[in-house]
Amino acid sequence: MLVVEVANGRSLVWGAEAVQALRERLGVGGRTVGALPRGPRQNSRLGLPLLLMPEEARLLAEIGAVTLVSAPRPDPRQHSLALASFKRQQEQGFQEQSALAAEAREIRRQELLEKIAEGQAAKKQKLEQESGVSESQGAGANPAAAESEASASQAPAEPEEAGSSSPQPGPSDEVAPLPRSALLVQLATARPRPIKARPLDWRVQSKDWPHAGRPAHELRYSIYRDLWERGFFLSAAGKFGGDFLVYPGDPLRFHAHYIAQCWAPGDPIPLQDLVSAGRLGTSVRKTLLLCSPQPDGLRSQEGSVNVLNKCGVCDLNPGDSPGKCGCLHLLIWMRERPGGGHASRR
Amino acid sequence: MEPELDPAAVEVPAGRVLCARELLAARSRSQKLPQRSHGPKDFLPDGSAAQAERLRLCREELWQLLAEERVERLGSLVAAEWRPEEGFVELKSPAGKFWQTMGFSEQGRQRLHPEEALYLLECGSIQLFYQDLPLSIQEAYQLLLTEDTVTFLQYQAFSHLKRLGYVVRRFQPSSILSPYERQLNLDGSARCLEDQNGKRKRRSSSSRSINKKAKALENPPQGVNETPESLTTSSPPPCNQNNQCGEGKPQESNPVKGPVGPSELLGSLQPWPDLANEGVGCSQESGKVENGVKGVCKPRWNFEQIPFPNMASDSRHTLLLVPAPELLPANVAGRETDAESWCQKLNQRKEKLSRREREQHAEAQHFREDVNLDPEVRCCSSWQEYKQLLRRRHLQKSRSRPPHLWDQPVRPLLSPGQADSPATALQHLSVLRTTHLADGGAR
Repeated sequence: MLVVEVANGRSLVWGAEAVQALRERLGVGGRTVGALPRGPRQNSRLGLPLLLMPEEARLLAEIGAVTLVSAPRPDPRQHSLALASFKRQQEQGFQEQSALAAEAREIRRQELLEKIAEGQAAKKQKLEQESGVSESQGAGANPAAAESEASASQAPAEPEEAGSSSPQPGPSDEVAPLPRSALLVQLATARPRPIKARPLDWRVQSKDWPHAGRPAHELRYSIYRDLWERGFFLSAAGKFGGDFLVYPGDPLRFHAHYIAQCWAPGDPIPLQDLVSAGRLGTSVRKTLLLCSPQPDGLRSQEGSVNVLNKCGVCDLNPGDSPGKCGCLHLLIWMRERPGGGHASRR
Repeated sequence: MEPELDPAAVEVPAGRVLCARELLAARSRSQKLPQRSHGPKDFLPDGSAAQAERLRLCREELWQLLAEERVERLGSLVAAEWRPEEGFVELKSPAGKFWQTMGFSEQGRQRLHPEEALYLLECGSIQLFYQDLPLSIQEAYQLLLTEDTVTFLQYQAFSHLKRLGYVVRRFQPSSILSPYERQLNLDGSARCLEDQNGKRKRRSSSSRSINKKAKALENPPQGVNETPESLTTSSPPPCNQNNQCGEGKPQESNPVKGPVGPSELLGSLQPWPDLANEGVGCSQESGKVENGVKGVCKPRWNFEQIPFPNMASDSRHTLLLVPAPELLPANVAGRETDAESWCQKLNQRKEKLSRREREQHAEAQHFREDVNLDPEVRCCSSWQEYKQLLRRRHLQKSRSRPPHLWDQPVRPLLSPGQADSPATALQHLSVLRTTHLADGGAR
């Protein structure tokens, strides 16, 4: 059972598996808003946490896929236990890492043993040819140690890269201890220990969930639910002046087809808004979808708005000078969409 | 309301904790970001295997990216502690490269604002502790982003701009130059400010040394704040904190127009260069020096309490008293003046218009007709009289029109059947009369 924490009306998902399950199984995408660990200084791809729209969170809670909880505060009584366990974990991790590092170094040395031997022999020969035997003895020991040092430092997890370690100039049989500063530490994304939290009732207004009962939220939610049940993928449409962007499939592979705007039934729609939204939709190659719930609350009715390029009344093209015919140079075409009403997702 | 005793309490599972082997493996993962969608997007889902495969690939990449955890060497992490009562984060070990543009010093300690600390935590530069336990990103979001510190939305805006590369600081009202200051060409200080608003670029070594000097002057002369009159004798290093002088100057020179009381002017400005370089220009926050900010501090003078004489025309206060002798240099004697004569000479210089402006003025004069210059209009004492005058004038104008032309119904001079050639039409109009001058002359 997935758990999503809610604070101040905002639902954040912190686990990557949860995000995957929500997107693949349920068709709810959300929006990543955190820094991506691989590239924290760029804006094109963001990472965890995933921010869910209030409508998405409520839908997930209604269908029972997710439990909404109020974000829990850290318990002071658990603090000492947590601290002790953290210290223990760190020590243990340190021991394991030292062992692993030594292991890796040993493996590396074994791999290069032949090469080291070859190199040593070649060096010996060369130096014997050039100078006396005593010098070659001295020079032979050093390149061996230097080579083992070099091979050790090449291993990716080796600590001797930074200047903080204690270099061992002797033969590599002695294990150089892993210095504290070379310990690898994980900066956890999600809370690394379990905690108890109070479940949130999305039907009731509270400090963490101020949306319950608000007419704007109810309106948007009914539209969201209806479109989701028809199999579309929905996301926020702040960029396009609408309420939702409606995709035929996953946004990773498909462009949005509609910009959905939610209107309360009986609300007059100013003509300027209609025209401007229609024009925007046409210029970004999306159809404007005007949605409002039916009075019986079960279905919602949508009309799509397309702005054509030719004035249907006087047949003038947009290139001609305006005002000749005195009418608006666009034709608004309304078409009813057949109602849905399925309870499950197609 | 302990959630533990609550039977309905739900257990929130722990996040992923990496074991030592995974930590080591994490060091050797790729650092490149894969492209978002493999090839152009499709239009409609058609259930084909190719589409499904591409979608699967994209999704796999996304999950892989999201599932990666931040792994850093302990030696490269700066330890920091969150202080909720004070609302900032204090650094426990010396700061790294980010110190050039982020954070502030107070009382010799390095501090970070909560949004800066959270951003650095997400970048993997610091390790944030709270009560000796390191915070995960989730806990940090919960603890640091509250209503009284920085909200979630504000942090989103901050981190977005930081990721784009900007240097983002807390707003300080004293850093904005007023239009008057700009007019007086105090741009020397403005250029200092431009640095802090531009993209992150290499800081010159001079600024670093200035910052160090500012931090070094740590004995905040509290005395200075209390007695702004007294001159201190600290030797001023050359600084780019002269915007502080600048901010003082326009305030002081406001009441003094023209060469009145040069002694007073000098006297008031003298203390500035000496006192400006304390780095303690902020009277409210003693000893607080911001990083990456070239000496933008609040001025030491509280201008709300220093009374300036109002020399505007509404209530002239032109008697200027002698300045206090301790403000003046040793060999200059102050005297009191009456600025009345100078105020009368204000705005009497002829405005020098460029040639173009003069031409424009001249042209506009042709068409400008001031109704009030008309003596007849001046005689009118009420709106009704003015209306009557207008009506009379209109009648007069229309009297000059011949009635046989203007008052009768319009009759066409020529009907289409009458004139069949241009010559006959012109004849009718009598515009061109055919003359026979030559006929008589021949005889």
